[in-house]
Amino acid sequence: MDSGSLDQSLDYLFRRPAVILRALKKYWFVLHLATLDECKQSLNTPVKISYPVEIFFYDNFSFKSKLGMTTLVGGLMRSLGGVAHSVCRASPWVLRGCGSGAAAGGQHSLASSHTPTITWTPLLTSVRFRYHSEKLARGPLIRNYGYEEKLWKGGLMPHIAESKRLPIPLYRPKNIWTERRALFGQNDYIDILGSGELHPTQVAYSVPPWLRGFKGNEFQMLLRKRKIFGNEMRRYRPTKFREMNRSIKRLYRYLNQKTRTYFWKRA
Amino acid sequence: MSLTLRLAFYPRLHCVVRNVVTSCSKGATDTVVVPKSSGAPLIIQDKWKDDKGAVEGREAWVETLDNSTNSTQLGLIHLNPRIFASYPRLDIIHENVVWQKKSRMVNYAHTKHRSEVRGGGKKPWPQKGSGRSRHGSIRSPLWKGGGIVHGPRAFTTQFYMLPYHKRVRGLISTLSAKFAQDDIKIVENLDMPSDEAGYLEQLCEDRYWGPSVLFVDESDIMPRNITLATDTLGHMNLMPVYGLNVYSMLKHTTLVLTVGATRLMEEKLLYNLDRPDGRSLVTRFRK
Repeated sequence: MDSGSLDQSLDYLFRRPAVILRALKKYWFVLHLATLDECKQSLNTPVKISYPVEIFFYDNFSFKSKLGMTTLVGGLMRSLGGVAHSVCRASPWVLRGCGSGAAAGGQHSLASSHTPTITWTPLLTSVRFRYHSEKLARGPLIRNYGYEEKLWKGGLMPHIAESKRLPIPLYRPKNIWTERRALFGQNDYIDILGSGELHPTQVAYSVPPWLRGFKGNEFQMLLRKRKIFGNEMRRYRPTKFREMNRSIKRLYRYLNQKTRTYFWKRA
Repeated sequence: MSLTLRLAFYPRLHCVVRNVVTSCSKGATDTVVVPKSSGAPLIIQDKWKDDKGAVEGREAWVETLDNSTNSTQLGLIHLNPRIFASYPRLDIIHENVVWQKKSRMVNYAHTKHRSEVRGGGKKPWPQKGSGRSRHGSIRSPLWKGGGIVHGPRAFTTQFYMLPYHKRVRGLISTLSAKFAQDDIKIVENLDMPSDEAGYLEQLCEDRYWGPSVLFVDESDIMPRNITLATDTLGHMNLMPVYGLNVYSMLKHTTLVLTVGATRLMEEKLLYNLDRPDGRSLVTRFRK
């Protein structure tokens, strides 16, 4: 890149106050160019630059100008003797070059366009903000854009005074000290604490007699019901008895012919 | 069913000699006889044969429900550390409570299948030609008002039996936990001078016996006065030893045991801890 175009690029660059050339560590050279004049002055004077050099710029440029910026900055870098990487996304940007060679204090002149002896590969890092205040100024990150939370934020529901109640049931706390609730679980340990002859299932009076100590699926339950109540139902509940028999038949067919049940494993 | 609220035909008589009856079994001593008008303190001791001295025995006051005496505390009782000082296994207590709830639960919720819903035998419209989707019955689960496929079916039970030794351990853990929290009060007997509910309520207030109290005696026939007093109070209940259970012990804040009930319970639980035929109890329950 010749000095004329460099001049232009620098002109473009430094019209924006956001560009800083800055060194970070002891290996890095700080090049603060506040005004174009200063820059031009520095152009004429040979500047001792020991690599690497970091060009840090930040601003909310448009995409196009970003690219423009990077090409210009890349040009600047190259003129300083650097090789710019291809750029990637986000603003602000940092173009950081680091020295690959070993020679220290390579003298480069901004004005001159001679190729340096040492090449170095700049690293590109994208940062979210230069100053924290800028981040805050940008505001909070918008999440779930377009999502409307269907939540009633209007406070308590309307209370119609001296009028009919709202259509919600009145709260009636249960009396937990009724006899049934107070003595729940009594005699569950009768086989341990009693004489040992009785089993808790024999004294589970709250459970229907035919279901005491029973657990099974619907099919097993219906079979048990038929065994115990079959005769009675045949005589006094014929329709119900018939329906029960049909259910049993249907369940038998379903469980044994239409679906896998865990009983199969035993067979 | 409560077997506890039965009126005794005669009140219990105070014996001249105070007997603390313990049944003759492993780890129990003979009756302790203390004269009534003796100045010596009442200490109800029990030397357990399997006491290796590894765990310190626990002691508790023996109280009385009679407020007219000059001191409500009559003496001291030694409690077996294997029952009242074991480590309370919270997970086992939880399992016991869950078992008690589930084993007697019957779900009566019922939904009808497509075959049980009234109607729906006829094909609503021909298979092809009408332009509508094909259907075989108006009571299929796809239809409004149709049958429910996998809904609840009546008389569903969740019965199961918790292993015998887990239930024993549950009782022991609960007793230990309650004792550690000073929620167990040992009482000589359940004799009261008055049969009024107010007297009992006042007594519990004065002694800071929690909002709910469970009185446990060895037999299911309780003295007349306490039966009448607790009849109207829902939060104070009577129970025999065989009716004791983890759920009730947790539901009632304070557990009041008579000396006889304590000894009987200890005997039962100790026997069940190292039963010779324990293996026969570890079988699946079959109806």
